[in-house]
Order: sequence, then structure tokens, then C-alpha cells
Amino acid sequence: MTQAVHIFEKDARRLWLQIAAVAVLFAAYAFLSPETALNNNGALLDWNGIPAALVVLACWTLGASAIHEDSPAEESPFWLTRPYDRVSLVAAKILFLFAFVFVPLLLAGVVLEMRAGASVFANAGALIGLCLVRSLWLILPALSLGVVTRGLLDFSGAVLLGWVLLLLTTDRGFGIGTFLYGPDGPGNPLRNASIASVAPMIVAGIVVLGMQFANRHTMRSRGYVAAGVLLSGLLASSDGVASFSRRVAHPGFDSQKIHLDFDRSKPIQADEQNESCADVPLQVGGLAENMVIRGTGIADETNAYFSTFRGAHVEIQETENQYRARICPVPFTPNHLTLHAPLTLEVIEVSAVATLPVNRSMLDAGGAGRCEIREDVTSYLRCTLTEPVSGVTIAGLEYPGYQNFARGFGDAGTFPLSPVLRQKFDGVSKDMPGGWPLDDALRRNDARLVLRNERIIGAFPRTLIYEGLNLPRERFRLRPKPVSPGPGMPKQ
Amino acid sequence: MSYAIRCLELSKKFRRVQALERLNLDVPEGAVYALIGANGAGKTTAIRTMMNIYEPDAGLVEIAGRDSRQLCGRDFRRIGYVSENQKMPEWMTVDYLMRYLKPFYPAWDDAMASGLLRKFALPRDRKLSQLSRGMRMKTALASSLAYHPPLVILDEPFTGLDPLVRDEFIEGLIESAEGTTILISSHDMAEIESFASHAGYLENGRMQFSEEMASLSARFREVEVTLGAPSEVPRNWPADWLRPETTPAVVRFVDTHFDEETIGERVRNMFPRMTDLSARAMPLREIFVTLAREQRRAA
Repeated sequence: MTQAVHIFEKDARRLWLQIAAVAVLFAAYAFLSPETALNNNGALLDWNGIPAALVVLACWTLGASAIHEDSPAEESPFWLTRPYDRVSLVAAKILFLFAFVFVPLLLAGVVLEMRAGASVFANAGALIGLCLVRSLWLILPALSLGVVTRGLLDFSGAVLLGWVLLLLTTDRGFGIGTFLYGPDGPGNPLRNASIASVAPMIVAGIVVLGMQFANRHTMRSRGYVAAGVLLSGLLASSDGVASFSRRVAHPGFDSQKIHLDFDRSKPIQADEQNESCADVPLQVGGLAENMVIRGTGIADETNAYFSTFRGAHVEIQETENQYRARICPVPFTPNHLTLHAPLTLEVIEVSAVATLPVNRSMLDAGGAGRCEIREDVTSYLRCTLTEPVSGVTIAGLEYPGYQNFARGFGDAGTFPLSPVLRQKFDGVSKDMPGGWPLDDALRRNDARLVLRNERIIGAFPRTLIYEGLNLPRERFRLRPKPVSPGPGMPKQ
Repeated sequence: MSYAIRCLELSKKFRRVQALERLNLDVPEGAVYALIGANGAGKTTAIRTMMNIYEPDAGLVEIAGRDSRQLCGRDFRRIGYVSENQKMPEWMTVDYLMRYLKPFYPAWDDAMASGLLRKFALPRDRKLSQLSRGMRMKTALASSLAYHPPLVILDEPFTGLDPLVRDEFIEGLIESAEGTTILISSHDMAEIESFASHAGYLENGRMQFSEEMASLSARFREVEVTLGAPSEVPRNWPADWLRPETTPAVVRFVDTHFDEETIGERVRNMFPRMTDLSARAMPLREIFVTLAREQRRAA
């Protein structure tokens, strides 16, 4: 350990300029980002994108430089013929990156949380957890590419090559963009459906780190890194891996116990937003109280003459534990038919976060953050929230006769380098499709904003069959929909 | 006899190039062994294999009885290694390099380190990147001698050094490494000759000879034969007589197995009209040049 600290001190002395640059970037992000984020839309060229990308690149460069200081890829490195203990050498590099990447990231997260008025202590676990995950993304590429390259030029080439390999093999947008989204963005590896696909890259990175400092087979190591990147890219697009990923994350999930079928005893209703669709009630059983299921699929419709029409869109929706299948059949298909709907269903764990009144003051959501109903051309909601380690915070507007939950509309700006903070639900107004009538809600005194956490804990396929389904399309017209009161609200 | 370094049937190949082929080399403890050979002969490959920088394809290297593949950090507390090709931490000052290395070596001798820096007139506060090549090599040597290693390996340390610096380097090495086993590779034989106790000649990855300097010097002689009448080079020219040069009155050659007692008879058998015979001791450089030319001619 003494030797590790000694090497660490040497690296810190050597790379102080890069360390300072990373620290300044983290500090600038932590102290300046929230203010400017309010005025931008998260595009790459605004304050959110460039500093975040700079921090990522600066961290990678710093990590690679630390490795290159005692490079195992050099033909005849200085350290190799000196009494370096290799475990201490690796430990020194990891200690270096912990001190100058993880710690600044954690501090930046703390500052952002405090500036947003969120509770640092209440979110300490999530903050540290997500910092560790983010640090892995900030550190491991630097380590694994650093040990197979000899200098920053080599390293830059390797990064570019790796990116191209990923772009060629995956359609899920890995790369720096992965880091630039908040926890409910596509880049959150704990929520990403294909988290398992990243495993080859991580394994290859760790293997070459050990192998290079132990045996220095640089060409072989380069091959392993390339293979890991390629394999990850190929697996990322695989549905099987996505499904496996969810199971890995939540091994307790058992789809066999979930019962789902059409409830033929209840009437079919026209869909209020699209008159060519219908809402068919469903019976759902075997789910825990805090779980809901959702899913979609494309169904076949078969008429009395056994002609099959493919293309009916089926979506499983839930409101207040009442399930319905929203069926949008192919136009001009007969009314009496058999519906055969193969679906992919997601099981979602729901937990309450906060219930807030609807008014124009700052709405304190406790440890979760705070929300504000802002007025510009129209009223809209903006929340600065601490997201959980996994899952996503959704918000709903409720008042008697109305309930509508949303995962977020146009983002007001993300906090890419804050592990837990995210601004969302921006621009919601009654003028937007699916938007909320916030102006109406502000005039009422019984409206509530409900924040809750949704976390996908499993997915499974299921086929629903409805024989003799009667979708009287000529009667599909907008009709007043029976309202369902929000939780805890008096029924009208 | 115990050996500080032993190479047994050592082979190393880089793609299609056979850098070392069944190399056998013994460096006795306490010896100053000069590994000589032309550029590309395999000297650096041999040394890097000894230092576990390269892994041998076949054969074995033993450093103080330990398989070179097993050499780890701790073992390098007892080995000093200086190479013209080694990447040094150029950003460090001379002083910081010494301070940085000190904790790695339990036997680090501050007085020795300071003495060497003084002797080599090295500026303590200057970065290695700002030093001349000679100064960098002297810094590397000072940092490799300050912990009294029983074995010092120097790979082409004189390349590009001016004669003054070379002298200082050698002087410092000899003074500070008394009793130490030294393996030094070079194609600058003139400097090595003055202090080497053993020499090995490497050609195309193969050891052509490896022996004590005294024996080597005794074995090689430039022989000059004065003839009473012009004579042609006989067809049965001995294989151990190299580089024959003839003029109508004189024949010169290098005897690689010189024996004072038998040389007269052997020459007389070859040149019955011989009137005079003289044999001159050869410096190592001439021996090397003779052997190298012979190899090229044979190739």
C-alpha cells in the first residue's frame, strides 16, 4: 500500500494540470449548470452538452495519462525493470482515478443536490451508487484503452475506433451520449434494458488491465478489447439480452403467477382520444399491490370466413388498478371477429414519492426535490428531482374527474453529470397532446400533483385471445368518459 | 563456478525474424562481461529477455539462479539496468528521480547517489528531458548504482556519447560497481576492452564465441609471414586463419587459435620459403572486425 501511495503521489505531481482541469470542469458544472440549464433544451451545443462532454473527455484523458505514466504497452517501460510491485501499481492507478474522478463527481453531485434544495443525506445511497456506476463509465474505458496504447494519440485513435465499432454494431446509441442523460434517459445503465450487453466490454476491460500489468501481451489485449466492444455492440440490439438484463436485475420476478385475460362481463368503450380505437376491460391477477403491468403488441384479426387481417395495435393500460386493452383495429375489418394478440408485457413496481398541492409557489417534494408551476405562454410544470438508482420518477395531475400520469414531456435540461438530479415535466400544457390542463387545475382547490417511482422489474410474453369480439366501429364516437377520482379524493 | 546469468539454448523470434537462436551464455559472478556484436546481432533482444521484458520462445534464462520469466518487482532490487532504449520519466528532475526511486530500494545509499551525481556533474534541478543524451545515460547509471546491485546490465550505454562522457561513464561504473557482476552490450569494443574480463560475440542471434578476455587476446594474433620468393595462397588454407592478405613478399592473416609453440611449424608447412614470422596481439576491435567480415564473407 505504501508503494501504491508513493506511485499515486508521483502521478498526481506529474498530472496536476490535467487534475486541475478536471476539477475546474466538475466545479463549473456543479456551480453553473443549474442556472443555465433552465434556459436551454439539452442540445449538444449548449451548456449541458459541451461541459459534460468535456468532463467525460477530460476524465478519459486523465485516466489514460495516468496509465501511460507507467505504460504496460511500452516496448521497454521504466517501471518494468524497477522494483515495482504490480498489484501496488494497479492499485495506485485505481486510487488515482478514485481520487480525481470519483470524488469530484460525487462532490459535484452533492453541490447540485444542495443547489436544487434536495436532501443530500436522504439521497446519499443513491448518490454514491450512481456515482460509482458513472465513475465506471468514466474510468474503465480510460483504463482498458490506456493499457493497450502508448500515448494520447494512440489512445484517441483507439477511442475513435471503439466508437466506430459500436456504431457499426449497435443501434442503441452507445458512446459519449450514454453519459449525457439522466437516470431515466436511455444511457442509465441500471435502467437500460440491455445492461447485460455491456458485460463483454466491462469484462474485457478488467481482463486486459490485469493481463497487461501481469504479462504485457499488448497485441492480444488489443484483440480482447476489440472483441469486447464488438460483442457488446452486437448484444445491445438483442431482445434476448434485454430480457435477460431485466431478469438479472430482478431475479424474484415470476411471470407464471400473473393472470391476464379480457373481462367479457364489462362493456367495451370507445376510446376518448381516438374514435377508431376501443377500450376493452381486462382482468389481471397475481400482481402485488405495488405492481402494474403494461405492454403492447400487434394483433391478428380473423373474421367468420377465416380471413386474417394483421396490424391491429393493442396496448395494455392501467388507471387506478383498472386495466384495459386499447385496441386500434385495422380499418374496414368486420365487427365480429377473433382477436389474437401476442404481447410483450412489462411488470412495473410503483412506489409513492410525494403528493403536492397545485399552486404557483415552490412545491417541496421533500428528499425527492422540488417542483414549480411556471407561467410563460401557458402554465407548465418543472420539477428538479433526485432520481432513484433504478427506475424513473413520473408525475401525475389528479383532480376529481381527471387523472393523467406522464414520464416527462420536453426536458427542460438534464444534469448529465449529476448522478441523481434531473429536470423534467417541462412544457406540459393543455395545448399539448396528452398534456395537462394545469390552468384549470390551478383554479381548483382539490387538484393534486402526484409523484411516483416506476421501475421495470420484469418482462414476459403473453398472448390474449378474444373470440367473438365485437368492435362496433360505426358507434365509435367521442362520449364523455366516466371519471375516476384520484387516490384519497372524494368521489363525485 | 556460480553464474550471475545463464542462457541455455535461448531462442526468440519476432514474426519471421529469428532474433536469437539457441543462444548459450554464461556470465560468472563478479565478471565484467562484454556482449559484442554488430547492430541487429541480437544483443538487445538477449538482454531484454534476461530482464523479462521479452519472454523466450524456447530455452531458459537464469538470473542469479532464477528463471527470468519469474522475475518480479522485488528481484529488481538487486539488478541495475541501463538501456539506451528505455523510456525514462523525462518530466522528472534528476533530484526528484533519485528521491522517487529511493523508497523502492531498501539498500539505497544516499551518499553514493549524491557522490555519483557530483562525479557525473549532473544538475539536480534539471528535468531529464532537458539533459543531453550523455547526461541522461549518466543519470540512469547513477540511479542504477545507488542501491549497490550485485548485477548491473547495461545495454548499449555508449551509443552517441562523446569520448569524454564515455570516459566519465566508465570511470563511474568501475569505481562504483567494484565486485559487481556487469553485463555490458556494445559495438564499441575499444572502451569495453579496457575493463571487460569476459567477452561474447553475437552474430545473427548466435553466439560465435564466449570466453575470458585474457584467453581471447591470447588466442587471436595477426600473423605476418615474410616470404623469400613470391608464393600463392595454398588451397589447403586452414579454417582458423582468417582474412588472408597476400603480396608477393608478405602474407598476413589472423590466427584465431594462436599457439606460440606450433605457429612456426604450421606456417612453414604452408609456406616453405618463409624467411620471417611475426605475431601481433590484436585489440578487441580488430578481432571483432575480423570476425564480422568473415561472417559476411561466409554469408
